[in-house]
Amino acid sequence: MIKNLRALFRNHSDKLVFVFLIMISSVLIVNSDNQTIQVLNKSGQTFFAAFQVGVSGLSGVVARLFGTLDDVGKLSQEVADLKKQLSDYKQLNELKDMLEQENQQLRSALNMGLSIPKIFQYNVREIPALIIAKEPGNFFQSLIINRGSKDGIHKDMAVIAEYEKGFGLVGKIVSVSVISSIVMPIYNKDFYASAQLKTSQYEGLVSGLGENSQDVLMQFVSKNAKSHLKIHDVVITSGTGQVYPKGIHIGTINEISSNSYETSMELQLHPVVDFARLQTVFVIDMDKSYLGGLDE
Amino acid sequence: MNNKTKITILSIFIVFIALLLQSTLLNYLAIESVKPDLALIALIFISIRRGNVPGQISGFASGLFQDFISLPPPVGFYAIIRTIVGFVFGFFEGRLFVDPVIVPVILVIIGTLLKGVLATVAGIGFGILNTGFELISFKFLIEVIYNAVCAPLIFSLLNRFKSFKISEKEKLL
Repeated sequence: MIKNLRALFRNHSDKLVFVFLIMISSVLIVNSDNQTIQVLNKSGQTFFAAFQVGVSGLSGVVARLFGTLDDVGKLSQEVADLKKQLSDYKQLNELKDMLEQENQQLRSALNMGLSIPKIFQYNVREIPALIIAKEPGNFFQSLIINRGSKDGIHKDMAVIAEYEKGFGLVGKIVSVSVISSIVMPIYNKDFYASAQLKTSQYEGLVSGLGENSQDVLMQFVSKNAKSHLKIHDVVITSGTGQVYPKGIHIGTINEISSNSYETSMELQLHPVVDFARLQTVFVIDMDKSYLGGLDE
Repeated sequence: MNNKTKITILSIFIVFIALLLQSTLLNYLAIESVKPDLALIALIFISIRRGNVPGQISGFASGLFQDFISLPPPVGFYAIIRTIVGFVFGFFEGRLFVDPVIVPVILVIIGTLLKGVLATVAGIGFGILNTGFELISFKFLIEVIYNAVCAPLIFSLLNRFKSFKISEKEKLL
């Protein structure tokens, strides 16, 4: 009996190994939400991230070296532009002082004590992070950052990045290991965020279009908004749901579609964040303890 | 440690390095955000050179590594795809004359297409709604071409490993 089993294994070892590995893979897929498999996944992610940090650092040095040469020319142009801007700002500052003084005099005259409201009064923590890797495959698209649970990151935190006109939404944290986290970008099909038009405040739901496009879709926008919007209008997060802070820029409208048989319309947005050259991001901790001062 | 175990460990190490490069340095060489699948090319080479047991095991390992650093769920998605690729190409062990350019290009084109078909089938079979992957897409076409272009280079690089060279004794067998 044992001899027969040995002979079977010797003669068909390749097929037996195949069946065994396929069974393990299938069990992993079917039970991917299982706690033990999640722990295995996070451990693997941490192990891999340790190497990714090293290689990413090395690649960063090479990229910076080439980037520096390119930057010298740009910097001299920027210095000239900034000098001009500084001179403009000096003039503006003088004008502002003058207007403030005049305003003060007028308020005193009218006996009014109005205060200007702050745009944001959120009390949130921002955790800066570097993108150390992107997913190796071309099937899904995710970003891997060098901050993990040891830095206070947890699932569902919002990720934003700075761009020319402020802060833009990058995505949200979907998986956290000790030293790294996986970010689901806004153009992923599974991404959803409540949003609103910056100027007219009409609300809708933003979701990714999927792998082959980095554009996003804003759905369920009231048809009443049609006369209040135009191409290149900015869409921001609405702040409901307590994952994304209110006022973070998502994208600009590049297509408006409205069917007569539907009660709402769809807007196609181009993200404000340029994902092709994204390197640094901020993870937003909207933990309830920080929300005490939320008041707008 | 016998020779087969050594080859399997070396194969796992190679696909690990390939995935590490894919997720970091190769982002700088992406065309339309598509990177070549170095791990797949290495897996095809390992399978046709050393048979389907090292092919399957290194395929499973590389798939699992990729699952760890990819958007969950599900863990095991890439593992199953790459195990099957390793198994299929293992049947060509010793049956093909691998020239420096043409055969690697053809094998890698077939391998990439097989990966695409398997991903689609696995997505449907396991009810994975968002595989984010379209078999008939411009992006996949770029990946097929990019992999094919990289194939001769990777094959010639891996050929330098003593463990993957076919000995005179093996040629006679």
